[in-house]
Amino acid sequence: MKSHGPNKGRRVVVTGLGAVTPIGHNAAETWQGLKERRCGIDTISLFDASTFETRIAGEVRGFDLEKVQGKAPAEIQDVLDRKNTFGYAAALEALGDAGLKLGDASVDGSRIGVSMGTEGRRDCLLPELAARKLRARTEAERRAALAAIPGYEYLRYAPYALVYALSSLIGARGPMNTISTACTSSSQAVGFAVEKIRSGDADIMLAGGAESLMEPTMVSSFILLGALSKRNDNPKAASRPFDGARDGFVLAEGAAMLVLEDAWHAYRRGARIYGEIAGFGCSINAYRITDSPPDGQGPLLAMNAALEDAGIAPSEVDYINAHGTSTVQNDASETMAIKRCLGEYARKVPISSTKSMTGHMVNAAGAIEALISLLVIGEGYIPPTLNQEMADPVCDLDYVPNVGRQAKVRTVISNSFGFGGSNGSLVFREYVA
Amino acid sequence: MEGEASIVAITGVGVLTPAGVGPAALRNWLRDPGEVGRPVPDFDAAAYIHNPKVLRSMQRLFQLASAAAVLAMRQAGMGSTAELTSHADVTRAGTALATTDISPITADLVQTLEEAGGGELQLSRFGEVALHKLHPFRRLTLLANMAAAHVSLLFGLQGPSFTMTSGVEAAQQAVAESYWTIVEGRADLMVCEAGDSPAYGVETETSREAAGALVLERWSSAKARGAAVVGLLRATAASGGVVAARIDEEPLRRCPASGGLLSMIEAVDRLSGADPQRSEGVAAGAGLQILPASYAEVAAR
Repeated sequence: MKSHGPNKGRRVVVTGLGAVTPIGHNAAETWQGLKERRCGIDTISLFDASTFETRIAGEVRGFDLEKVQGKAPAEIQDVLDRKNTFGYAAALEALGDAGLKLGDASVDGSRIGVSMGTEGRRDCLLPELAARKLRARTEAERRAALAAIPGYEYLRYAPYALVYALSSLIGARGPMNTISTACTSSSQAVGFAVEKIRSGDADIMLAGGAESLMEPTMVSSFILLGALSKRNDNPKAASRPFDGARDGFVLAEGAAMLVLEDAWHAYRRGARIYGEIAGFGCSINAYRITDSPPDGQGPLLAMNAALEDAGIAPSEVDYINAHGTSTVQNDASETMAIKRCLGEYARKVPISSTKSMTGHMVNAAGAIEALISLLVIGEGYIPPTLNQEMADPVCDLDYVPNVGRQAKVRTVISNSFGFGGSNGSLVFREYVA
Repeated sequence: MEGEASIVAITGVGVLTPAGVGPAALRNWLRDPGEVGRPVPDFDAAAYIHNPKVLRSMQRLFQLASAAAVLAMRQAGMGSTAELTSHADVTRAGTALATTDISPITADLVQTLEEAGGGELQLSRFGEVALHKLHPFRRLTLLANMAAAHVSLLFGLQGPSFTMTSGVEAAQQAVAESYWTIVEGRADLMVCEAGDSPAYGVETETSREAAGALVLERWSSAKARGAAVVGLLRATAASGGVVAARIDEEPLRRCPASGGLLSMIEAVDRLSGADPQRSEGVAAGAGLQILPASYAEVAAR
C-alpha cells in the first residue's frame, strides 16, 4: 500500500454500502437473504438457453431497470446498459447510506475518486451487428454499417463507462481507475481505492464492481471452458463450494458499491462507520491459464501480502469469506492456500462461500463479498455455505455448513481469485478509533 | 520520500509500432506518422512466444503486448525464467498491464454465425452451434487481463499483478502503480506492458497497432546485479519542465491503451543522451518523472 509522505498513517473506513444481487435489490435485502439462506439461482430467463448445456444462473429478477434508468441524469442515461444500471443503482444507495448528498457544495469533488472493477460488454452489440454487419456483402457495406452505430454505444460497452457515469453523477474529479482482472476485478478496485486514500490523493473513494454476463455469447464461452455447473434440474443445489459433489460455478449478475473514506474525514462529518479496510494484497499464479495451482501458491501470496499490509497475524483472523466458486480446482487450491497461510489455526477459523447463495458475480464478486465481510463484522453473524452434503477429503476445513452462526468477528479476510491467475485479498477489521 | 529509495530503475524497454520494432522506429513514427499502415509490420508472434498451443489461445493484442514484454525483459538481461530467477525472487516480481476492452466479435464467431444462419443471429441455436464450432478457450481470449497472465507464465512472475482498462490513462496508471508497488516495498521488479490492436469489426481508419513495455526494478536491486539502467523513474509534484510525447496528440491517440507507455519509452529514448547534471527530467504523467540513467549516480555524489 502506498503510504508515503505526509499522509502516512491515514486509515480507511467504509461509510456506505449499496448492492443489487440475485438475492436482494439493495444491501439490506441481500443481507437478509443471506441470513434466510436464500439462494438466488434459477433457470435462465433473460434469453432462450434451452440448447445450452448450462441453463441456470443467478439473475437479478424483478428489478425495474427502466425506472432506474429513467431517473438518471440525461447525460449518463446512454451508458446505462444492464450491468451499468446495476452499478448505478448500487452507487446511489451507497452514497445515500454514507450520508453524501449529490451536488453538495461542501464536498470537494477533487478529493473524491471512483475505482471500479468491471469489463466491457460488447456482446450486447451482437444483435445489432448481426443485423447490420453480418449480412453486409462487401467491406464497404460493413464499414458503413459500423459507422451507423451511434458512438455512445461504444462508450456504453467500454470498461470505463461505469466510472465515467459515476464520476459524472457525483462530480468526482479525483483518482479514477477501471480494473479488469476477471473475478478479482472489484477486489482489486477496492484495494486500489484504499491506496488512493492512504496516499492522500483522495478523501473519499467510491469503489466496487458491476456485472451482467447474461448474454448467449458469454454463457456459451464459459460452457466451452467447462467451468459451469450443469445441475440444471436443481438450480438451488448447483452452487456448492467445497462440497464433494461440486461440478462448477454458477454465473450471476449484479453490483456492489462501497464508500471508502479517510477515517478522520468520516469522523469529522459524523459518518457511521461499518469497519476498516486494513490490508490489500495481490499476486499472479504463473501456473496455467485455466487452472488453479494445487499448492495454492498464488492465492497464498495474496493473502500473506494482505495480512502483512494490515499488520495482522494469521491467528487474529476470525472469519474468511472465501472465493469458493464451487469448481473442483478452485476450492481445493483455496483450501490449500488457507492452510499454508494460517497453519494449524486454519482448522479453527470459520470459512464460508456466499456464492452458494448469490452465485458468482465475477467482476462484481470481490465487491459484494467485501460488503458482506463488513456486515459480518457489524452484525456478528457468519453466513453459511449452502449445499454441504458430501465431504471432500481435500476440502476439510470449517466451511460453516448449511447453517449460519452468531459470532463476534473483528477481523475478516475476503479472497478473490480469477481466470488468468489474478489474485486479490482484502483484510477488514472492526474499526476502533 | 527522498533519495535512492524513491528512485526506480528502468532496465528494459520493448516497443512495437506500425513503423517497426524498437525505440528508433517509435522515434521515426512520432516524427513522421503519415506513411505507415495499421499493423505492426512483419510481426511474427512465434519469435517471442514459442509455445504454439499458447499462441493459438492469444488474441493478437495479447501477442503484441507479450512480445513487448519479452523485448523489455531481454534487454534487462532476464529473457527467460532461468535468467529471472538468477536475478530476482519471482514472488516479488510482478506484472501490470494496460489494455482496452476486448471485442467478443471475433472472426471465428462471425464465421460460425454466418454458417449457422446465413448472416442472421439465431439465438435459439446459438448454444448448440457455438459449443461445436468455437474455440474452447474463447472466454479466455476475451479477458482483458490475459496478456498479464501470459507474461507471468512466460517468465514465472508471481508478485503483484493488475490490469488497468481506464482508457487513455490506463498505461500511465499501470506504470505509476507499479512504481509505488516497488517504492513501498511490495515488489522488487515489475514488468509493465500495454497493447493496442483494433478488434475485428470495430476497427476504424485511424486506429493503429502498437505495444510497449518497461521493466522497472528497485534501484538498489538493479545496481546490485549490475544491470544496465536505461532510465529512472521518480515521483514528483512538479508540473513544469519538459513533457513526454503527449498521449492526446497524433499518433499516440491512435493507440489509446498503449499511448501513455509509448510516451514514456520515447522519453527514456530522448534522455539516453542527456546531460546527467540536469535533473528536471521529463514529466511522464501520473505524477512521475523520467530521468537519465546516470542521474542517480550524480545525485548520490
